[in-house]
Amino acid sequence: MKVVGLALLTVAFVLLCGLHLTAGARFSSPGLVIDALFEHDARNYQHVVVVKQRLTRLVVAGYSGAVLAVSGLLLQKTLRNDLVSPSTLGINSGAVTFAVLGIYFFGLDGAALFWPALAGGLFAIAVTFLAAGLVSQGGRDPLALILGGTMTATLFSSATTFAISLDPDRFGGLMGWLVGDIGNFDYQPLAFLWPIGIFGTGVALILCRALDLQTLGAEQAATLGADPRIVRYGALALAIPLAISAVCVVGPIGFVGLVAPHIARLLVGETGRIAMASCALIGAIIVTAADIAARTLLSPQLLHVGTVMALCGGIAFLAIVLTTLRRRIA
Amino acid sequence: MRREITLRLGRTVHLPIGLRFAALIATLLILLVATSLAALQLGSTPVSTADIVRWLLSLETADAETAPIMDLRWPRIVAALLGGAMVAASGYLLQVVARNGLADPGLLGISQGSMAAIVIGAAVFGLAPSALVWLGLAGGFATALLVTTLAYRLSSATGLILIGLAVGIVLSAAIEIVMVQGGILQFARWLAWSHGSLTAVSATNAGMVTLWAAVLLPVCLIASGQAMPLLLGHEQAAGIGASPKKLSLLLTLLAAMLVAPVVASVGPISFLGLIAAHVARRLVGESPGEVMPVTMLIGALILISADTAGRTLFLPVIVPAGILISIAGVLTFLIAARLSRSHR
Repeated sequence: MKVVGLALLTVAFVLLCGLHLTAGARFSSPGLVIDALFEHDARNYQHVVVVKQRLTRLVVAGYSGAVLAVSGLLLQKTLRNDLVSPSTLGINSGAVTFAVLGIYFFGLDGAALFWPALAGGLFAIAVTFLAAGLVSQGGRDPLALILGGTMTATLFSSATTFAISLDPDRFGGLMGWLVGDIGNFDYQPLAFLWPIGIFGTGVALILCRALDLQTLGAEQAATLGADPRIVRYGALALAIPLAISAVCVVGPIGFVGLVAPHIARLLVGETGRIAMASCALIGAIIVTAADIAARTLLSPQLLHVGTVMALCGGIAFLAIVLTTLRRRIA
Repeated sequence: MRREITLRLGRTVHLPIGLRFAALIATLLILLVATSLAALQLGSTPVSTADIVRWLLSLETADAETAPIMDLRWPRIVAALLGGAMVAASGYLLQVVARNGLADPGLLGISQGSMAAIVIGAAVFGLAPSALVWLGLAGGFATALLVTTLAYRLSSATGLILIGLAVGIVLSAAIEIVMVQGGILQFARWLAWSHGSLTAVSATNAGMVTLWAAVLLPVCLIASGQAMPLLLGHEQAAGIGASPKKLSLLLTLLAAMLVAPVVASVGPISFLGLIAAHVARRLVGESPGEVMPVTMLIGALILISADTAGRTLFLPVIVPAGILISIAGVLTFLIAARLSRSHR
């Protein structure tokens, strides 16, 4: 049953990839796309568009979606909270703030931004826990953590705007990245950062069983032979760099990490490696679909992928908050 | 017993006024006047006090150098004072209606609702600026109703805020989609507006805000006296003869009305209502008739200080007032959330 689900998702993803390559401001026929991929002619303008503009975008979208989804799933399992994700915990915003500061003070660019962004993500998650502690006063209220995260995100995005207003001309070209967008040259930092994603996802798949034990509670997990502390910190140590590697490439695209695990739970359940692999696929599907929507909805005008995700993801976030609250009352 | 003085007007009107309250109002007014004068004086071209006094006393005979600078600065200061008071009053009304000390027009998505209506009205339907305020009012009120209905019966303080934030995110994304079509220049302008900035305020805007403030602020002061029963909770309020549903609806409408003109000219200033009402309640207690005027004065003081600081401290960079306020606001929010927890 689960395998069937995974297979169906794979088929859906492949079909969506095909759609991604053919759709755009100008439609390319499937035959043309196949020609462009297998008998590439560098002088044919349409071939160049398919490979240099659409294929690179597709790779970036697939990578960032999968990685953000895995990161979200890891966070949701370790913190045992359905509402957490890299964006709702403020990790994305913190990473962007520190990356902007890195650009401003040290003139960093491309893959070198990973280190300040990582520092920012870690700092932001610490601030979030602090804020949540202040709000809930030691109690374990899942909503308080999200409220703390959202406040942290607001704080850091204000700080980002402040840093940008110090030297607006310098950041003019970064406008798309700040909102979260897939640009035509985003594959360049990805060329350096992809090992993080592959390694992180691989380790996450290995850790999967131990993580599933965690959802039973720390004592239960310990009796079943998984050291809760190692697993918990290990999962956090995976989830944060995974999310950061996506943020460095595409900017703070929100809600993928929140929504993908929920869809995966509905389709294939929540335990096991297949669930995690499906989650990664769903994340890739979501961002690819958002990218198609961003390129075609108002074509020839481009939308930011981050905006499309905020629109759909915001509604999903609202629905998840409402169901969580209803469930608590019932 | 609290010390009081009684204001007697003829034989029939006897208004007891708390001494502490009166002293507080006087202090805040003095602070406001001082800050406004400082705001007129400071800037990339400082103007001497003597020049300002001369300009204030006689508009016609002001010398040729001062007048143009003042023409740039006074609309901004008027908008900051009145806008600050209006947003703060709106925040306090929402806190009373939602019985949640964390409510704020920016956090509940009401400002974003106004903004979305204004942006769509202007960009898609090409409406005239005078109609836009009404549209913003409708958008804000609709959003307020949506958010409070969704949160109704959930009786969770954090839940209301999270629902408001989620609605705000969706609305901001919708605005962004409209704004992106106007090219990068419009997008950049929107980024500044979306945080709340007084840079672009003109004399026309200031006039519009003044007109609305002249009508709404007195209404607020009167309404706040009637809002007392709501603090008891809906059943209790109905028990002593108030009509909580009607009252809540009217106060929500008033809150949306207060925000709309400010959003149209300055942008949403999130957290301002939260900070002002929180500080005011710390200072004078819970009685709405006293909290409301103090909230307004504090809101005006915060916005004008933030704007003046933003345009003078970091020269040649000008920082939008909204950014400074939201950084201060997040910290206040966390402290307020903590205090309201331990209060219970």
